[in-house]
Amino acid sequence: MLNKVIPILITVLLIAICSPAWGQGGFGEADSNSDGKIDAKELKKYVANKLDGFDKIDAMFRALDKDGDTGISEDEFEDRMEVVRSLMRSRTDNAKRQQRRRRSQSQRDSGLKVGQEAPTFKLKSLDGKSETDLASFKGKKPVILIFGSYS
Amino acid sequence: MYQDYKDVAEFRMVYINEAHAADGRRPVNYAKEKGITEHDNYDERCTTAQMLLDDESLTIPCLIDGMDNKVNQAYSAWPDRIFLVRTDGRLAVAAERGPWGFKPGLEASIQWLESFSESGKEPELPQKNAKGDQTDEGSDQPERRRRRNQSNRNDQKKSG
Repeated sequence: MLNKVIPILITVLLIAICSPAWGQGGFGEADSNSDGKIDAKELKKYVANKLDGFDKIDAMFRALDKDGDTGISEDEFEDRMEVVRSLMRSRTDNAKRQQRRRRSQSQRDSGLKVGQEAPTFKLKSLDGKSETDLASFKGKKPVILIFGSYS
Repeated sequence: MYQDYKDVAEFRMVYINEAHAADGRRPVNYAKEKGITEHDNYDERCTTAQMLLDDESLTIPCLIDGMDNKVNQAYSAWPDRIFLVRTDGRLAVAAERGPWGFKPGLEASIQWLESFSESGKEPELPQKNAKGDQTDEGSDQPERRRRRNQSNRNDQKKSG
């Protein structure tokens, strides 16, 4: 049972270490004495730092071992990789992702609201013979603006 | 709408960059059929705009946004959007972008123009509610997604 689990966990940890989700230069960070090699001590320290102790490994194991037979089958492994990845993602990555989501949402809601001043502009007509200056209608007539394209 | 209210308000179409050009990110079939591509220059934009006016028999005065897309950006107008500007320069209708917002914006504009032409007075802007947000006349519940052209074509033909 242990024989099944350890190689899988190690693979998962190594994949996680090498993945971009763990931030820049996983190797450089792990190689704390910068001698170009990660020895066992450095690896333990690096992994421990990233995982904040063994709670996350336990949680990772429980998440992987879906049928609770205290062994992770290949299917369970594949099924639950996403859970493992999300457990391993650093908090800053999640924060960055949330920020990106909020930004794209605000882009969709963007723009002017009722009651705001309409931006003034001057544009030529299609036939090129006249120019429309939005400011010229102020005090005279309301203006309907329809923006669009053929496609 | 144009035919009904063109004496009461100024109407302007502003032709901006294509929503679904044949060589764009999300082309539509009729763009491919008609050879509507991303505008390389001002003349190309004018040509495509003219094609739209001709094909749809549109009579609304049409303006062409510069290749700097400045007015488009100022109004966050892409792919399509409708606004109503009061005589004091403020927006009475600022619909949501895209096909979902267009029909509600159109309907809000018609309502506004109806009221204006009957009473001669511009409807008041909505007051801020308790939370301090202004209600947006132009955005109701999203309509079912329709191609902007289809809904626009129908409304143009329906209300003249």
